[in-house]
Amino acid sequence: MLEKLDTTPGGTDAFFWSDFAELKAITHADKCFSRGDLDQLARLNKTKESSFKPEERWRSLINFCGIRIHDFKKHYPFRVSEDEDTLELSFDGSPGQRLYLGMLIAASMRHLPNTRKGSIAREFEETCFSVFSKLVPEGSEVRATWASGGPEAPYIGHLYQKMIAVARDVRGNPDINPEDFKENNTGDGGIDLIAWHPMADERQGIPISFAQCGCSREDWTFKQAEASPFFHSNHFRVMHNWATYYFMPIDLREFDGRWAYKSKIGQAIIVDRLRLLRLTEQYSLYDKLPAFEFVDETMAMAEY
Amino acid sequence: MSAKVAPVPGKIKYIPTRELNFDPHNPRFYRLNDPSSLESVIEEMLDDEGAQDLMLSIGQKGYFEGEPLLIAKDDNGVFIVVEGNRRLAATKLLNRELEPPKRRAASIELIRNQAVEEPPTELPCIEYTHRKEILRYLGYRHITGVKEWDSLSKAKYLLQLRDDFYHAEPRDKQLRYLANDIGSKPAYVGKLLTALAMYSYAENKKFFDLPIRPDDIEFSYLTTALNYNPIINWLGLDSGIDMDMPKLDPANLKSAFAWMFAKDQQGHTILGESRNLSEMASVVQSSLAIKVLENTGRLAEAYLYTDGPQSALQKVMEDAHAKLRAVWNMLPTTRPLSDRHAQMAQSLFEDTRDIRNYIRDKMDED
Repeated sequence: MLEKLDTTPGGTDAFFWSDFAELKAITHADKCFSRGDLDQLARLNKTKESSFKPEERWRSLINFCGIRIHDFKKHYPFRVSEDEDTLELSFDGSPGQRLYLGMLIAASMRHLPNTRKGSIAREFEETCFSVFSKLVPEGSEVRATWASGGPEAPYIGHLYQKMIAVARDVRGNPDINPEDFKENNTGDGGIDLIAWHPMADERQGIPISFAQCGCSREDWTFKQAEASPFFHSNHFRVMHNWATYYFMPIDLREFDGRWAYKSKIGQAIIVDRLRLLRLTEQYSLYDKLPAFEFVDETMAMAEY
Repeated sequence: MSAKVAPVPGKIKYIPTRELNFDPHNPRFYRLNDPSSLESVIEEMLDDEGAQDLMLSIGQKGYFEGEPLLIAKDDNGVFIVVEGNRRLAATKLLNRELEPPKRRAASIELIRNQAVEEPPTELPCIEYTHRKEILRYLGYRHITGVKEWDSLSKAKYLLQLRDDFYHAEPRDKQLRYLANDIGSKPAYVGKLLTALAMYSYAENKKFFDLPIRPDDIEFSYLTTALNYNPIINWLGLDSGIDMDMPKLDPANLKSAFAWMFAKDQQGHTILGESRNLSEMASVVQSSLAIKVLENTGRLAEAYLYTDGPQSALQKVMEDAHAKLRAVWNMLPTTRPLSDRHAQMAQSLFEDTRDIRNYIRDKMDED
């Protein structure tokens, strides 16, 4: 299921290194990952560009896992050994822990085979749909733009046609031509989720929200803006600009709980792993989540 | 200088593994509460030392006889393995003389089952008269060699070596001899011993009654801290190799331990990560910044009260300027230029204009 598990993260961000340790733990035969395992990886990478100092990395990641224990509470499916030298999987089968593991794996695209990336990203998007539906005003219409998504995802065809349909739904004035888009572009135009409140009439000037979902560790800095007015206000004009959300399965936090890379967060409201899990709990959304069968597949791995 | 005691190796002889025992004074066991406990040692070997890769190797290829264990008898006449404790652990686990802790049982059983070679029940050994004879020759292997110890084990080993062989020498010679013994530099040896002196001081003071357990302490943070002159000066050290620490400031050492290792209820330390030591170095140069840190517990906030941000901004602006010059120099030779280039240029222009306007506005306000 997962691959390239000896490829360590670049950089020193604790949230990425803790993810890596958690992935190693769930895929190991012993369901744990230890200081000595990291040391071994450091030896393997010693002469490469990806070399790292194992002692400092270990302390950083295990401390960050300790912070996750505190912040994710019962939904965190790992424990830290008394001597802080081992991270152990302690999965209890609860939907919260399952969601945590689903997001952990979705946030680890570099370790997923290409054949699985699309389906896992889709399950993440479906999770975001449920949460997004609770973040917009009660009574809102909520739609997805992805293909083959059933009645909740009505936008089909060429991107031009989708944009026209979106503009109509949000009561905007479209200002686009078919030739503005490449001939074979059937993408989503950077918008995954759309919500608007009809305000009990058919006039313009309604609350609108757009959202983009992304699993990539690198692309979020620019993808977060893809659903924003900055990108789309030339395509259709609305009386009041929309709120922009960006959903990510990454735990984008510093040690002290602040946003990591805050200076790179632009117009979008970021909904990261901690927010997704807490909001799912707050709105009791577990029965609306996808099955995350890939979590079982991953836990069935027995590397050593 | 004390005369070097050249070990006189005996012939290789094969000794049953059940007669071979782990060395409770091995530097890598320093962290263990009870180094004489087999369970602790095996757990350490599997969790911290990665003995599994040796098990795999011995299971697939057999024990390499060119690497005999180096052993000596202790006061009770029992064989102690001074060099080769990982190999001994791997062999005892393979031949089932020892069982792993429960959490490691699955992988150890897989490795045992996949072994193609019969696990050895005796190992090639060279016996020395005294443990001390072997000690000084471990350094090349575990400090600069193939199986590095962690930095606390290295420091502990160097201390043993110093006390056993060079205790009567002046400090500078001690460092030089130790560096020669391990194939490294005196400054590196000195830094490890100074960090160990700080660690031991704090340990003797029960970590100043701070909420710190020995397991909370990452020794490498102490050695890394000694790379920063402001921290060295603030601690009352003459340099990063001041292992006697005659002018140590105990109150500041206590603060350093509190910021680096004490966790609050959420599991946060004030330092966070070792990369923040540079900010801590700036903070300790300013009494105002220290006060802010003590009041708020937030390093990032305290850092704002140092001249660090101004210096950092200056450097980033200089770097950006250098990169813009590089762009300018590339333009005459790059063709074709694309819409993307034009968009990027527009974006750079707008960002730069915003920066200029922001600075002007703020300077006018101030």
